[in-house]
Amino acid sequence: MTAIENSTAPLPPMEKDAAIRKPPIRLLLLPAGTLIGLLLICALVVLRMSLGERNAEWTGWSLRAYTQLASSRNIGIIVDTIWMALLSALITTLVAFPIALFLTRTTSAFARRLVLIAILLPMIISLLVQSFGWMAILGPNGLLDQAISAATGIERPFSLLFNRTGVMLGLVQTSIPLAVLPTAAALRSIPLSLEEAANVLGANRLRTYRHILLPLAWPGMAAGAILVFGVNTGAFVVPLLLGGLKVMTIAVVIRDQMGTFSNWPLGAALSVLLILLALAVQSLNRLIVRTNVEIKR
Amino acid sequence: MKQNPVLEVRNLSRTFAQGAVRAVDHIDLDVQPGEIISILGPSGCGKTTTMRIIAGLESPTSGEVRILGKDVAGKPPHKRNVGLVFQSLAIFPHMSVKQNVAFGLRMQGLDSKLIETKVAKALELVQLSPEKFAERRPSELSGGQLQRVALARTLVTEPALVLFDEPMAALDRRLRDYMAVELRAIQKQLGIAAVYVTHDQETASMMSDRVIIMSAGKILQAGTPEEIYEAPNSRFVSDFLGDTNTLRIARVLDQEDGTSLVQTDAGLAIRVANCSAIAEGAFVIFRPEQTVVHSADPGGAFEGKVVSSQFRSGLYRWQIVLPGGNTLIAQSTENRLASSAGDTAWVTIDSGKARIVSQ
Repeated sequence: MTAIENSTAPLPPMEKDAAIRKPPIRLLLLPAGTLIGLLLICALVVLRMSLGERNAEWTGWSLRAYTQLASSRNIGIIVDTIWMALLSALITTLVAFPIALFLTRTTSAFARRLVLIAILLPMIISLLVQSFGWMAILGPNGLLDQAISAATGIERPFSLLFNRTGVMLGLVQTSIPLAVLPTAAALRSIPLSLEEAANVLGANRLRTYRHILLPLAWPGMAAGAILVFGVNTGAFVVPLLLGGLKVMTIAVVIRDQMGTFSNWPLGAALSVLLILLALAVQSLNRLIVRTNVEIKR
Repeated sequence: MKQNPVLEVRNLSRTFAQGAVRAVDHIDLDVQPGEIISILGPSGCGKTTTMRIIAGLESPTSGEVRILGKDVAGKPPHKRNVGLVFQSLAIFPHMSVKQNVAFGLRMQGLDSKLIETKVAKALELVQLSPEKFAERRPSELSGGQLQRVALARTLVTEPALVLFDEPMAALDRRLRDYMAVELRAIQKQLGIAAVYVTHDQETASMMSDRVIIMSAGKILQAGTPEEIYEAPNSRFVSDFLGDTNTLRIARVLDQEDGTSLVQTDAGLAIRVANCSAIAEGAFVIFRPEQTVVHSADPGGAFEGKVVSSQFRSGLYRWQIVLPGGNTLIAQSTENRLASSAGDTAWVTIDSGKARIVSQ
């Protein structure tokens, strides 16, 4: 965000006889800028379609899609989606903190590399593959089932697939890298001497975490949480496969409307909602970063 | 009546890499009430490790640390009643000056009114006006001001012993000298016992009642700054405290009444007072200011050629090569040579000040 703003700010006037003319720095943004411009056009197309009539998305004008969007079923799904994204952001951030602390504190380069690779795997492996993995573990007659049955003799004691718990597991697992990396970056910038100073000044381990480590790592943790929340509001593959159409999210409904039901305006209206959510989250991010600006020296 | 020492370190060792590296090698030291001692040595000599063990931030391999007579083995830093001013200062960046200074008191669970009073007092002690600085953020302070905050934050908790880990290393020479004088004054005023760890011998000399010279994990010499400067027991100590002329002794020409006439391996005959036994392969050492240069032969002087001359902070300094190949550094507050490089000069050595060391 800031990079784009800076580039549009007027450049300082250059002296006429300056020996070396610097190439304008905004040229650097050209490739990415083109893509973002295309994305913007797509967003506008979606906006237009959301205001169209069914089967006349380009010619008609109507707010029908938005009234459909406000139906109690859809509102339920929207609230559900936001709630799951929020919960997954919270859980992921909590899970990520000790991992990030380990990454920054371990003295073994081997252990650090190993953990880092494990953390990054979800970003490298296709979401589809990860979800099928979860299905193989959690599904009926899956690994977990078999293990529990073998241990207790009870057939199908509980199910973690095709319900919220399963979706939540998937959402948390797939977004761990998004939370670990910014948290680790924030922790890495905290000198060990700050903790030692607190320690010598009479703070035990717990109080050192509370008064020094957590407040200083907070911007990184918040950035991670917001990232996870933003990504998971648009979650599609994980809820589709692990929720099995029993757990609906906005993205799953968009696919249903645009695909199965050919209701492009409603799908587009839901998409507009997702875009607005993303923008809202982004501005939240800026708010938090701004209030913590003094921490960075 | 002799008071009990604030700090007693006994036979302290710390090894790394399964004993292959001896960072601290059987060290003994005491700090008396109201005394400030410096541990002085080059980087990697074990001085910082020693200090961190005293603070409880590292554990010793063997040996004992006693604070106010109590063995503190296994006690975490926050239960040791020790203050530490870090090299990096370690000011908490997310807290105001007041919050930084109040931190230790808050951890002690003091009442907020009392904390307020104590913080204001501590800030005044380090000459930061509470009205002006209490609410400031660390990012708004200069290096010298941060220094004062770190000092106030440590002193306000009234620790039994204050440790300093080269906190002034980042300051420029003038500010460092100024802070050293001020820190010394505050320390005397409050009567705190302190250990100051540094590689900067000037600061150490200015600040300390006693200096301990460390190298490779061992204590080489301990004494008042003056004693050690005047009577170093080795070439290393002498070199570390300032420029030294070091000449290897080839043989002893004459010896009577504690005064020896020795000949260096370059063939110079030097008279040294106050020395008895001279071991094989010993050195004669003397400082640049313990020589006198002359522009004409005063009789009994060494004749040599001036290689270079400098003037710095009121001191004149010459490098003079003697015929045998030895180069002497001579120093004076007067410009005793009108000569420049290449001219002939004569040097005499103060035999009362020259010393003989075996290594």
